[in-house]
Amino acid sequence: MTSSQSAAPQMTDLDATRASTWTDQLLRRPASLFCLAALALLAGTAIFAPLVAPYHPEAVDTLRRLQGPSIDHWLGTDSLGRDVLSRVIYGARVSLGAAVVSVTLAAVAGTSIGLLIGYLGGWWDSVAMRVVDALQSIPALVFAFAIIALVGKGIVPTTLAVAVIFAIAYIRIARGVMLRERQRRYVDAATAAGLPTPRIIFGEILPNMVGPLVVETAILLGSAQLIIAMLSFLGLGVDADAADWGSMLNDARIYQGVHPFLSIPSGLAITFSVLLFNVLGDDLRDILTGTQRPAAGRRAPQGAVALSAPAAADASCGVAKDEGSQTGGILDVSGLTIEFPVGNNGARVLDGVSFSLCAGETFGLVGESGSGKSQTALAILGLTPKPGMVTAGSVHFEGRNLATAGEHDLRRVRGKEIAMIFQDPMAAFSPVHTIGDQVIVPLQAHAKLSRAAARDRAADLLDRVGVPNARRRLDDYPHQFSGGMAQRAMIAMALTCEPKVLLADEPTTALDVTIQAQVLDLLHELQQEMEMAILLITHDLGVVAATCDRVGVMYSGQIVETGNMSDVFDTPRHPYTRALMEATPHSSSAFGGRLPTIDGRVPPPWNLPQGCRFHPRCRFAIKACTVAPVPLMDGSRCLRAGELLMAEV
Amino acid sequence: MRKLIVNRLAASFGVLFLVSTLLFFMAELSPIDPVTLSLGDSATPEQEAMKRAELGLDRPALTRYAKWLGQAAGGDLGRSYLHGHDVANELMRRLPVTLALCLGAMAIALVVGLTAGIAGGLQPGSIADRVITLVVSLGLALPGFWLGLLLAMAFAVHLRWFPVIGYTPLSVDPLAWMRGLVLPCVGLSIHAFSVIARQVRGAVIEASASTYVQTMRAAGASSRTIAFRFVVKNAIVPVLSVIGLQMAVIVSASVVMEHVFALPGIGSMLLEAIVTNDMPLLQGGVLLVACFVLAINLVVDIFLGALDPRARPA
Ligand code: SF4
Repeated sequence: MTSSQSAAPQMTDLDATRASTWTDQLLRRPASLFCLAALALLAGTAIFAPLVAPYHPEAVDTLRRLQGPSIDHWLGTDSLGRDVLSRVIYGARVSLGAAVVSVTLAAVAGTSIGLLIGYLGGWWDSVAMRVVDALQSIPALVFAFAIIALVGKGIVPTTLAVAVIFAIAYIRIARGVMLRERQRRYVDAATAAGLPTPRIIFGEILPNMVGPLVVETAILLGSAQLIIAMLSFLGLGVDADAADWGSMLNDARIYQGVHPFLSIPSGLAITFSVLLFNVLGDDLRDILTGTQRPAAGRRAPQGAVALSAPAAADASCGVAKDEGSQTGGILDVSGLTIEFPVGNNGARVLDGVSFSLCAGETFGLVGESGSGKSQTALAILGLTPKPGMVTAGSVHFEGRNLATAGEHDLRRVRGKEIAMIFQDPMAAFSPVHTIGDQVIVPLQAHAKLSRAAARDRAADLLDRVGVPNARRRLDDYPHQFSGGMAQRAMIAMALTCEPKVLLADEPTTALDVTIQAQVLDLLHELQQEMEMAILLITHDLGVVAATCDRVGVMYSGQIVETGNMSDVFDTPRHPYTRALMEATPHSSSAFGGRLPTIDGRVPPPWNLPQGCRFHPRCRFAIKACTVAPVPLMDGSRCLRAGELLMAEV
Repeated sequence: MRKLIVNRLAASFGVLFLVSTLLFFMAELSPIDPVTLSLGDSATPEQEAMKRAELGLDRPALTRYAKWLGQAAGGDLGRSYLHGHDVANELMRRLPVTLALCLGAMAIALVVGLTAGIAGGLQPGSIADRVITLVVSLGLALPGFWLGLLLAMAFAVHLRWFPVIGYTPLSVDPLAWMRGLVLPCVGLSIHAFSVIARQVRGAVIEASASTYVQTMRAAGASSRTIAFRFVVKNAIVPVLSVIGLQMAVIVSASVVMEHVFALPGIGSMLLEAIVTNDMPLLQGGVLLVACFVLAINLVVDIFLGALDPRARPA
């Protein structure tokens, strides 16, 4: 049903997706290809029914009524002795034809109305959408009954009824796309260029909704067949004598006691053709939304992790300056490598990341988004999103290697020994559970506390992190919290079990500048109180400067420079660090650093440049930089680190 | 919560008023003359005039509308044009059949659909998930009434576990009542089951990928706790409206299943009313179905309010 190719959702190669049109992609899927071929065959059969069918569908033979399959009648005969095969073939004309006509009518009328109300907007739009909402809450069948009761039985009212019902779906899509596209600049440009409105709508906007409309059409063609068949089955649609799958089933219903086989051909015909449209619609939707269906049961093979034994503990918690295993900290990350399967070969999102975190210190990981900072934090807790897996390296925490630990052992570390807070506090809480129910999760997981005791502790902690009315606010929901308060609650949740290490992934990025400083201060206070080590992940050099003891700069899955905060800041020894600093406004306060912008982008992990990964963006690059991977030496992953020191900015 | 229920109830009555108005004027627009319908073609003009006065059709439409509305509000839905039965009585007589059929099908669709959707969504790609996905794809394409026929063939005609057609009232024989409803309920539930399972599966997968699940995992919660305490609730909220619509679809599709199994419910009455243009019967039936659907929507709104704090009125 789907291609077996699998990729991490965030790494779906959008460029590749766009490069080949959806029609190309559709034709590459075997299931879709089969459906298209089968539908073409079905349509051909319907059109050329007189040539294909062995008998006339109305040819009565009272001597051979209700017969089973035979050489003369491959699918037997019905209650009037008519050939069932021929009737199924002719039935395709009525069933498919009525569905196609009704969906076409719906598409044309619905799209036009949707475009119009989307274009007019304002009052027109809100009134029309109310009517659409009301109509949509009525089940399609009831709607059809009403129309048939009003207009009378027959194929024409049935087709009309279905068309009216389905037009609603098209109105929604067309209006939605219209509203969205109206905001886009090219429409303004077209208006400014003096293009007439119809040209804008049909020439510029309509092409943008072809995708969703095609998906909807495929699905609705299936539903239309079902509804039309149902109405014919009830004797309300097609004339009872006409060859049509629904009325054939009704004939079969009457004689089911005598000749049970009669319902099989027409029933299968309906099921099969509806299935074809549904599968086609699903595939189209997958292609257009870029959804990859998950590959079956992919697990990280345990043997894939290179077991690196902890080296003899180094008493000092020195700065890790070279490649190799890290020791001496409370948390030692050594040569951590994570790969995602993309196509036939893997993509490395982390490549040999090493650092140690000492008790009570703050270590900063800096870099643009996509550099692998968050992946590092998730990997420490064994939370690497599937299908990514740790393929080498170790994470030593208190004598255990978390990179090879099982889920059971990891769970005992998570939230208790090592806790984590996330970037967007609003997204990091479940919107439909109270803050109290969520803050107590670590307590319930680790300390066997009663709910009441856990809530007491949670209330104390909320109070400690500065949430006013802490006890009362336990019963509030996340949407009732401001961003800053939610982040405080998140911190409280992380600290409920007094962890030794806190992984803070962009803890202030989603907050207002003034709130950012408060939250950082709070973290610092709590760190002193609880003597915990913090791994602070940020793209904001200002935050690093204000809070960190040591820093690691990440680029493209590697640490490219590491050292004491002041050393790295005063004398950056990697062009990337320097570019980051230059992109940070100096004039602003230490907390005011905004997203640094450096020309170019972080290369995607499945398409890394040869040699130094930074060379396409590096203004110091020389030929040697493009030849071989650059190792981390003396705290810098740059061939020209020494020269850089001397070169003036 | 009370505020929510009151709001929704008020809105429901508004819709009910709208539906009844539509129904009345639908009858007005209908080209079929009730007088010829009840008297036949051979009636003399005097007879026709008498009948017209008897049915109150000689008065202006608005007067009749007001009277009809007043009577309908008081539970008087008029008399059938064709056999003169009191419509309200007829509805009450048939209601238990349709109610049992629909509630049974809803229960199956909900329980099986939610279970399958959650099971598949929690382990996408597993063998169980693939089987569920396959069954759901078939269920979406299979006409429920054909499935009804097939079930009847297999379990009633061949195995004789259940009656082929017909209905035994609960008061006559509870066991026979239940046996008679099993196959229609299963047949009626299949489409709703498929839609629910499919939507829930998607919502569970989506909820599992959200940041709060990562928070919970990082906090050391077990996957079981995360799945059943956090993911399922989050997954159900966005699909509640779909579930409600499917319940309404079950109500309307009961017409078809009553036809298959010859059950004397509202559906077969509606069908008869449509075929014979018996407007009072049709109006009464549709009004009842509308009430049913509104009740479903009310329940859905209450559930939504209970599950999602953001849906509660401030
Ligand atoms: S190795 Fe070359 S390309 Fe890479 S950062 Fe240093 S100077 Fe730039």
